[in-house]
Amino acid sequence: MTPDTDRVRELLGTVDPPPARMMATDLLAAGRRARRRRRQWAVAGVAGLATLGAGAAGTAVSLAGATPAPVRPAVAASTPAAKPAAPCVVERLDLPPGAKAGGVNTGSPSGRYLAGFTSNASDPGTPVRWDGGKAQAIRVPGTGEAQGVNDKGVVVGEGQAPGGRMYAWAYADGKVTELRLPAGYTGAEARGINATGQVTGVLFAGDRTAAGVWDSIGKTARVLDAPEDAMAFGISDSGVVVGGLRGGGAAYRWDAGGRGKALPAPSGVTVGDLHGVRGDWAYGSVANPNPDATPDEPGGIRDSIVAARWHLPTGRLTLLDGDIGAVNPAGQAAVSPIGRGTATIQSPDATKRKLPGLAGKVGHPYALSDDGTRAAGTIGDRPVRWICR
Amino acid sequence: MATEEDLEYVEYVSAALDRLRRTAYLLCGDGDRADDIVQATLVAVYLRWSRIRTVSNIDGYVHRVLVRRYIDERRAGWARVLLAWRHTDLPAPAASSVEDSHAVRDALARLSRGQRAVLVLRYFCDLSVEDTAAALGCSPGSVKSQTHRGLAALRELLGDQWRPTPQTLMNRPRSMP
Repeated sequence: MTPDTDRVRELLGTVDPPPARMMATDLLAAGRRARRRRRQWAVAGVAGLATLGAGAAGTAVSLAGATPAPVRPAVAASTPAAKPAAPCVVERLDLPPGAKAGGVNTGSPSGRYLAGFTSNASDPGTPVRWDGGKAQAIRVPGTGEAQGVNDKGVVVGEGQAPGGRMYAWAYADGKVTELRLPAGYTGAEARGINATGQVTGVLFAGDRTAAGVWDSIGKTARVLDAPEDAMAFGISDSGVVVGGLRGGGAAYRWDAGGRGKALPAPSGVTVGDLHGVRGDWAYGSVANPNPDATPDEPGGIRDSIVAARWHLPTGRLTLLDGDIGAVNPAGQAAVSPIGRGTATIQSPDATKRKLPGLAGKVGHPYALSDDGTRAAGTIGDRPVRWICR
Repeated sequence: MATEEDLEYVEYVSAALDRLRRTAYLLCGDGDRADDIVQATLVAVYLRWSRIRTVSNIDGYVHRVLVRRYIDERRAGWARVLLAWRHTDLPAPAASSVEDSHAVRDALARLSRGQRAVLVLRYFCDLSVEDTAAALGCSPGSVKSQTHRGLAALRELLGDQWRPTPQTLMNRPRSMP
């Protein structure tokens, strides 16, 4: 316990919410109404539950036309459809001199470059790039983290200047450049870069946001068209940008010309954000079509949001248990478990390769090479990579 | 007609409501949305009350449900959470009182979403690094990094107001009325 943590506890205790508009008896009434609804639903929903159970092998659903409810393939993880391959080998990555901790946020398609952050007691966050496992700190004003890197080793990320302003930066040829904002915008975060050097991210203007693309490091961002405030989280080599609308519940993508459209959701599913894209594959999250079928229990709370992988040309959507940290052009996904479990690389045919942890700690992969043989991420407070042969 | 279980539930909620509302408000920064999160949490708790009323650590369980509701909402509408807090044209923090909750709230508003979430979960909800990482779906390393950055940013934003008052130091060894 340090004076700082004591003080922050005390300060957090001083923040008062507005006066309550509910009392315990209101909540009792709301609970009783919900119980009545659920009983009615339970009678009507038996067929739906059967569908969920049948999807154990990893069913995908088409977004076009009539769509059955998607399923949670990993529920049947104990009876995998395909024989798992040999486990991958994990190793710690070096830290730059002086850093005590860190993590990998992303990697280049070839697997050569990784990018993320390091920290120590006096330095809360410095962006870092690994080239073939060798770490190099990237000095940006204030604190920051790297969020994207391409096969040329160009890194982009977000920084927070002293005073709190968020800015987007790029690192190329040994130089850090702040990315330029269109008129009217006050801050930004860079979230991804593609092979041609296009950068995507989120632009801020007061309390509004927009999805933006910098066509090169020296250019001012262009704002992508959207029906409401939007955010962009990834860009493919062909210039397709993925993200979400501010209101949530709508995954959004923009073609290379900047024309946007929402991804249609199958019936019963609320589509959340798209978090990244590689080749024809995007990943993100959707609302569990049936959260009441997996009720919260002490010691075993289930997510009502699940990971999702899309094949963009066909709209095929697969739901996975866990959090997807990266995809590659083969449609493989690097997946972290929710809570306990083992990280995996999961192929479209539901084949899984385990990404082992270290010293009893679970791995969290956030990078996956195009050939599926290299992944990288974080275990505990240390950056790691996995080699799969 | 209230059953014995219903009466127990009302008793529990009456005692816990303030703490839960404070947690939700610190996390999301919006009074209405905080109440929505708390209501969703306590309705879920009601539906399982007959099973969880006997759990030894009910508070811990209910907090996990609340955090999960917040996370679910955050993932579905990441930007809403971010924007609820990102006021770039805030007035300068008030210098009047070190206990001025507005100054703290405004400072929280200037933190990044990740920094604010880890500070609230770790230091208001008393979750461990690992539990915070599991709740937020990120790595423990990221939680530590965000904690460092959040504390540093909060110190800087609050300036003189960060320093503990003499009363704070007196409060620590023995409780004052």
